[in-house]
Amino acid sequence: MTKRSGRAAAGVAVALFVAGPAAAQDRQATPTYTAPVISDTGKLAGPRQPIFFRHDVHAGQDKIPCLYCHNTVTVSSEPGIPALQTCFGCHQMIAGSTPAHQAEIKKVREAWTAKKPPEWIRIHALPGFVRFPHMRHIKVLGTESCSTCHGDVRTMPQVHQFATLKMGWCINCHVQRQVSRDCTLCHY
Amino acid sequence: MDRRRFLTVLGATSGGAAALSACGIGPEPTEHLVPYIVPPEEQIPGTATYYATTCRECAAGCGLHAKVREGRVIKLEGNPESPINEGRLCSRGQAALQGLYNPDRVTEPMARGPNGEWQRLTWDEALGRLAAKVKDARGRGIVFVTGLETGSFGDLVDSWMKELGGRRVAYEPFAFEALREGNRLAFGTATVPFYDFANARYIMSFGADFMETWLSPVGYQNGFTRAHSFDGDRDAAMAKFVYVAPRLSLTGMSADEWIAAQPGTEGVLALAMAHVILSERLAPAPPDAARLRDGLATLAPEKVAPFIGIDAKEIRRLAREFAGSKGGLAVAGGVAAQYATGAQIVADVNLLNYVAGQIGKTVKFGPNQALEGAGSFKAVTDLATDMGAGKVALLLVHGANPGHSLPAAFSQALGKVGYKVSFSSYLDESAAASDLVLPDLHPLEQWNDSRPRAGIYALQQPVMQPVFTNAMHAGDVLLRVAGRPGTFNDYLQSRWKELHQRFGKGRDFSEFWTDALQHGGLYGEAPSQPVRLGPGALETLAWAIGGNPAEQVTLIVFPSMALHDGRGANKPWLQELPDPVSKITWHGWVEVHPETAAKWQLANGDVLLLKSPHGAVRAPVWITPGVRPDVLAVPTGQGHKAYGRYAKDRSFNAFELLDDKPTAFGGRAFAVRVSVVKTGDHRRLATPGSRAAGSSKPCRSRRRVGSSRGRIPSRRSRHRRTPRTRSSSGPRRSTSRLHSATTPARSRAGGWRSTCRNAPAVRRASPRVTRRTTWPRWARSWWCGAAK
Repeated sequence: MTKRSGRAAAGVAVALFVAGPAAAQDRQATPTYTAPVISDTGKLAGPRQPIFFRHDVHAGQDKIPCLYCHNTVTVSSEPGIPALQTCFGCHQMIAGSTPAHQAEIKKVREAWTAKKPPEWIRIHALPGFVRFPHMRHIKVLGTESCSTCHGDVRTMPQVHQFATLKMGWCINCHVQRQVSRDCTLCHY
Repeated sequence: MDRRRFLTVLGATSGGAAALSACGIGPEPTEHLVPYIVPPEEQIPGTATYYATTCRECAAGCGLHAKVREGRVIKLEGNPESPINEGRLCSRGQAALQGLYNPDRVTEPMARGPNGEWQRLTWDEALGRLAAKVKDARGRGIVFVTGLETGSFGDLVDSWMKELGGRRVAYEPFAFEALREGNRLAFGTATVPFYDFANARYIMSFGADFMETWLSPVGYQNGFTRAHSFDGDRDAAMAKFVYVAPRLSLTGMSADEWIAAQPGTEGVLALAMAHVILSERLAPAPPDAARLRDGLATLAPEKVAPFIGIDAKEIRRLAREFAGSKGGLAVAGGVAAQYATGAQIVADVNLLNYVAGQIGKTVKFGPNQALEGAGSFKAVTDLATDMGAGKVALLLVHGANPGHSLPAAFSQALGKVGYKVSFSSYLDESAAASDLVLPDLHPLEQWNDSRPRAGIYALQQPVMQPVFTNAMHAGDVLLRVAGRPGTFNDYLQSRWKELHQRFGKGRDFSEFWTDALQHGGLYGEAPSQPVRLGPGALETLAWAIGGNPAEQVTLIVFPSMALHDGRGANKPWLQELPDPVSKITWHGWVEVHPETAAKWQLANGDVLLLKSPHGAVRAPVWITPGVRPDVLAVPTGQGHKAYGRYAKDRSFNAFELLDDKPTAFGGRAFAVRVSVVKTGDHRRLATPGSRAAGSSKPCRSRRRVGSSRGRIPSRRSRHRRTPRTRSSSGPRRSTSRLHSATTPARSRAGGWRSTCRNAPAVRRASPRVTRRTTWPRWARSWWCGAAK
């Protein structure tokens, strides 16, 4: 329990001091990204999700690291999706600056109150006969390498599939990097 | 609308996508990612977390490692650190998962309404009702029935009952009363010692099915495997194993020699062996063993051999082998300890160990099995009498189902009890007859501890969040009703603080506690204690000469390996697990020797009506040479009247045949005289491979009618011809029509006619087929020879 509340507290802390990491990024002279105002969500690529969660706001503009929410990516085959508690940890405090944002954040709070998690539509899905261990790829390519396969999610208002995730695409990369192409590497 | 447009429109809807992908075209159906609301502790999606806990499926108390994925336990294995099971786990332990996820679990508190229907309650209502009833019944008889609880929960119940002036009755249908009483007779201590199978050089089991249900089956299997193999640290001498019992169990099938002594004479056999060992001075016996010499004088093998039914030479040979091995271990239990004279038989077998000088070597008193708290059958029958006399105003039942194992006496007496409360997680017979059900958490979801063996303190921790969140730990219920502060976890830890002072070794409590949790408990060694012959030892001999137990037995009731006393019957894994001897699944049976079957003109699957003075059941016949011709045997476990969809109304309840009166030693007699009536009914025995000709495992004596032209092939050629099944041959029923002149199937040479004894259905399917009344010689010699 202490761990949980600790994590929630950490969430709040990160939310309150978002300026901190942003300042650190500034020192490295990375350009600041400002998420655009979306007037027509129908034009966006990718499926419409139950809550219009904007990766471009969270990961791009606020520069929250991918691993803050997808925190098991370094230790598990599954990157994990954040629990509602993680969302609520910040959005307990942050209500949103525009009416559009406020409407979406309200959905998060309502889901928390009703204990009904949103059913996100899965975008990157592999068939059951393929194993993709995230942790090994992250170990080799680093924690900033998500965009290699997922595209620059930091600029995506709505996430869509970037790579084909087909076998040829996998093999291509394995050939280029001269790593194993054994069948049983992925099919076992 | 053209085809392309049609598909586009269809594909846009999710139902269409699903329909298309079901046809093998179109996109994969939409997958959803549903996040946790609060993530479970220590869980990493995609990787497993393991928790150490303790198995509560029987009294043995094996250590468990529970594999948990995404907050759900998915597999149980033995804890390698536990000295009880050393990393192994039996089928019943594995199937505990199906008790946890059982669809028939009671999910919330319920009470009987005015018309007998179940009404849902909130916990506040339920606890208020219980508290009121407790207040009401105070001084008018409060009884708490539990299973074997050797830890904190048992102590909590005891202290609460003391406070209220009530009493606790522990009830286990197989509580090994005879072992405790037999040890008291022989050595003056009513305990159950540790049997060191691993270091035995010669093992004799008098009915003890230590590979199935006897005491600690997993641990004793481990020990036996070590003793009965060539490897290990010992020289290449494999311990011989001799099994003495009227029925061949899984344990018996693992033996090197089976001696089907006259039922009830197992003790006399042990004493005759003791006589030989003493008179021939085969072993350095303890000095006071000389006291037995006079008593044993009348038990020379030559005198008792006809009584036992085996040759005197055999008895002398066994005695010489046993003593000569210098590491003999004789154990009594199972069938032998369940006659009316069971305790004496256990005492006799103890004397055999004693004169061979093995007490303290292979039989170790000290690290005793914690069965003192298992109660006795007599205590339960006394309770039933009290209930019938209206002396019990409030009955609370937890972890026991006397309504199933004591069908007549207990169930009738239940009607006279003022108010009945059940803590069962399932609506078993006892819970269904109660007024209030307060569903307990499953052992995998709760805190508790136990002391399965002296020196071992096993811990139970919740390995996951409760499946049904509206169940409550019975310990928490008691604490709240008793008005005590804290949760059961606090109570448990407060008791472990005492252990911390003894075993803490200077660590602080939280470190000690976490360490114990990680390892599944504290594993210490209890020192071995010497025992001497007790004052009752000579009376034991007096009985052995005077009694004539051979008259008593015709039917023995043995515990089912998978279903045990019936608690496994609601788990489909255990139901579909073929019995290791009969291979029968999902129903009960009665074992009949081929000679008896021939005499009575029985075939496999014929339903018999078995009538004892106490009840009657209908059981299908399974013909086996693994039972004496004058003995019938039926397993326990089936025949539930409640207990969920998998257990209810399945087969027969063998407990109905048994006497409700306790034996002289306070246990239950599992052997009764029965009369047998052929009902004329028949059922197909549900064995693997008996279902269809297209099954993957062909029955080994199925033979090809077309090619052999009806000739019964020799044993060797029969093996060579063990047919490969053909998918085109269809269900076996059609192949049986080979014998019917009217059906075209006859021309289909190459179908298989069954001569397999396990598959009577084929013979039954066509009325024209005459049933075999006597067994062909080849079948007899083959089976009986194989069993020798």
